[in-house]
Amino acid sequence: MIVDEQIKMKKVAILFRRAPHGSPHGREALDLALLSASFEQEVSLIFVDDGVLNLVKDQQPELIGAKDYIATFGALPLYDVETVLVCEESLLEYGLDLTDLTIEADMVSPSLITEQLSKVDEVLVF
Amino acid sequence: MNLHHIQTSAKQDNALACCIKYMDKQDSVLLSGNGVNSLLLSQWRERLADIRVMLLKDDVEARGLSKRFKDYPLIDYDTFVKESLTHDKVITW
Repeated sequence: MIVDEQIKMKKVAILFRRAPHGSPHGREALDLALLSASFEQEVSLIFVDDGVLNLVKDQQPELIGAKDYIATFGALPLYDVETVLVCEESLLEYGLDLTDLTIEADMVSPSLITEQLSKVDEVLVF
Repeated sequence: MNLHHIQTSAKQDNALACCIKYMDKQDSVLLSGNGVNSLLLSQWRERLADIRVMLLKDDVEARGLSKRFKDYPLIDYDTFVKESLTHDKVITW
């Protein structure tokens, strides 16, 4: 393992498993992701199950009185959040693929998500 | 090795299903609150068959399920703290 001078940086994975708008979870998760990243923590995002629906393009949450945090996903690169993993099986289940998503993401297998959950110091599920 | 903590019943929320799908099979699972109810359902007993599962004693006893779950480790809060320390981290789904 290459000893990285940022070794003291905490690796935090934020996992989205709930659909957007139905509850505050999605917005809270993104707020936490951006906040952690701005505190120099190494943040990765993982989308599984209903959570993949957060990333569907052309959402208009304001139509149902919900806050549009979906647009804020676009800010992730500005915060150096580079690891965005989406479960391949979940996407398939919902009939989605990467082109349907509003941001760049890596489509990965469940086992790779398992690896990521073990690699990081902290996992927060929303 | 991670400790996965589930507080809702599989009928009520997809937490247990997600946990099982993405957890490492060496990890442990703690069911608390309504999470213990999932073990009353055979499909979830089967899916958890070869995984180390613990139940929070108070939540089992409160629901009158102690006899039914006598084959599972029923742990108290002190043991829960000890378990969380012997694992790398706790993931609450």
